[in-house]
Amino acid sequence: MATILVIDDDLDFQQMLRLMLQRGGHKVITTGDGPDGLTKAKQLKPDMAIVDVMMPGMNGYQVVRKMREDPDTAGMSILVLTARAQPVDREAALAARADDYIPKPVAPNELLAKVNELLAHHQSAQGPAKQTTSVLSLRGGVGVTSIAVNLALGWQARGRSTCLVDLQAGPGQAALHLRLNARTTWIDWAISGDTSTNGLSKFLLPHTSGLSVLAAPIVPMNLPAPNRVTTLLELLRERFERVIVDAPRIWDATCAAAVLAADNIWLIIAPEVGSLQSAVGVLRALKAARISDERINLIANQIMPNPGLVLPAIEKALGQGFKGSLPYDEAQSGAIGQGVPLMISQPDSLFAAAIKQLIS
Amino acid sequence: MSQLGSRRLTADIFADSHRISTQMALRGRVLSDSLNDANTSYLELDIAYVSRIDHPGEILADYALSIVRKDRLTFVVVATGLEMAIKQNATTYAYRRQWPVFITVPGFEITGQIEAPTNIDLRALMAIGVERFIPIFNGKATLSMNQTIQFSGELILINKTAIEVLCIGDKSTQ
Ligand SMILES: Nc1ncnc2c1ncn2[C@@H]1O[C@H](COP(=O)(O)OP(=O)(O)OP(=O)(O)O)[C@@H](O)[C@H]1O
Ligand SMILES: [Mg+2]
Repeated sequence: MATILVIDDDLDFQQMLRLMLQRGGHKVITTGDGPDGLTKAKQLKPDMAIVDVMMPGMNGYQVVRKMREDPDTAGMSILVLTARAQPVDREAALAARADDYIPKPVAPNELLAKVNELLAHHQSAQGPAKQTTSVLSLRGGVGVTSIAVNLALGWQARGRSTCLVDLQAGPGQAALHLRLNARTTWIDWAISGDTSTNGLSKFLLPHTSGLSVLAAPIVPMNLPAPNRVTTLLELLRERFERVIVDAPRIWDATCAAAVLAADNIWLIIAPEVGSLQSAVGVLRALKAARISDERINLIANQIMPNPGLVLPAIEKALGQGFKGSLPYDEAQSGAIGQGVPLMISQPDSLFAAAIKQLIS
Repeated sequence: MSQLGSRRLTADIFADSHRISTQMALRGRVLSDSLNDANTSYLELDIAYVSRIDHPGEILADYALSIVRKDRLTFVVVATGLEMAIKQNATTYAYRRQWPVFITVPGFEITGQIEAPTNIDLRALMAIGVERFIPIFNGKATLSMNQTIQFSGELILINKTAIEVLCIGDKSTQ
């Protein structure tokens, strides 16, 4: 059973749709106009919205675009159902980033089949509803921030509302990679003492992609108590579908909290001796913290064109295989300088494509 | 099982450079009768959704009240809902048949079928007479400048005064 929001100004049609979807086993919420539809979508977080196009004031395409822009509704399945039934109308619906389009009139069983197909596809394509991933390395400079930033953008682009948290005491670079001004930071939030999901909002930096960022300070600050980190990650998980953590480079209480809160740990290893040695240490620390192996993913990152070690040698030394390997990409350092990550400027670059592959 | 649709008729009205989509509550009268009604030169619309011909999927704006000059519109596409758009002959007369047509109007070429006597008289067909709009069944209007842009419908009603060329094929396709 899914919850479906129907936005259609034709009240008769709305009622027919309600009955039909209810008979199909779904819970239905209806509304006759776009602005109310957006409010209901944000508050009630339905699994799917069925949106009419010809509605006065705010048309269906505008509704769909707004849904996709708002991190709270970006990941929802959206079906456009309209009497504007021409091929150009289908293109317009898909251009607004609806998942699919059906012209009216439609046979009830055909519509129900489409709805169920979209819901099933959505679930299998998007993985679990909520996921926290901590990107980790105790060796500096192996690409943790580059990976965390592009991973977060990758999820956001797939329609998952995502928050990137830079858990450094400072200076943190995630905001720099995204050319955001770190006017508020996670430490400011910790000091505020707030414990509500709403209270978080004013500390989040919005990125044009729709991604939310909780930055680290530029000037190093004293770390808050580790329970604040745990609370923070819990609140973010409530609010977002994907939380990506740029974990600290030292094994302290903040780092431990980030690791414990994560469903997935991406342990980043560059193919060089120093990084290998550090990874051996991290794996021991994770074992001591009783983190199960399934949660640990080894990711190789080729930060240099000529690696010092080959991956099989590293796998042998660690007794564990890589889940993925990110290729050397000379465009990456330029992307940091420009403040536009490759996932945005060159989504088909080697680096961005390899990250997309890992989350598909 | 019956189709899920609206009781209103959705029509796309084309003028030289715009597409106006509208949903009409016809109050018992079919669309072609309203268009052909010589007592009024205008057609009032409840809500109009305006697009430009070169980006016909994009809705520029919607307006709660609008009025169209029937003599200046080029054609009207009804994708579905034939029964709300035209009165159908209960009986098909033996001497009438479907003819394939090719018609040009400013900006568009339109193909489909017309219903006409077996001894078709093109001059009589084109005469404004009682019907300003000629019905084309299973019609397709293609933008001449960009043939990827097409509008098709169970019915296209073409303003005879907008017609530049009308060609009739010899054999019916149905
Ligand atoms: N796959 C890659 N190909 C090429 N260059 C890369 C790759 N991954 C990272 N880099 C480069 O390596 C450098 C370090 O990357 P980054 O700052 O993301 O690492 P970090 O682990 O977060 O570093 P720190 O420990 O200082 O926080 C940057 O110049 C980045 O452009
Ligand atoms: Mg970094």
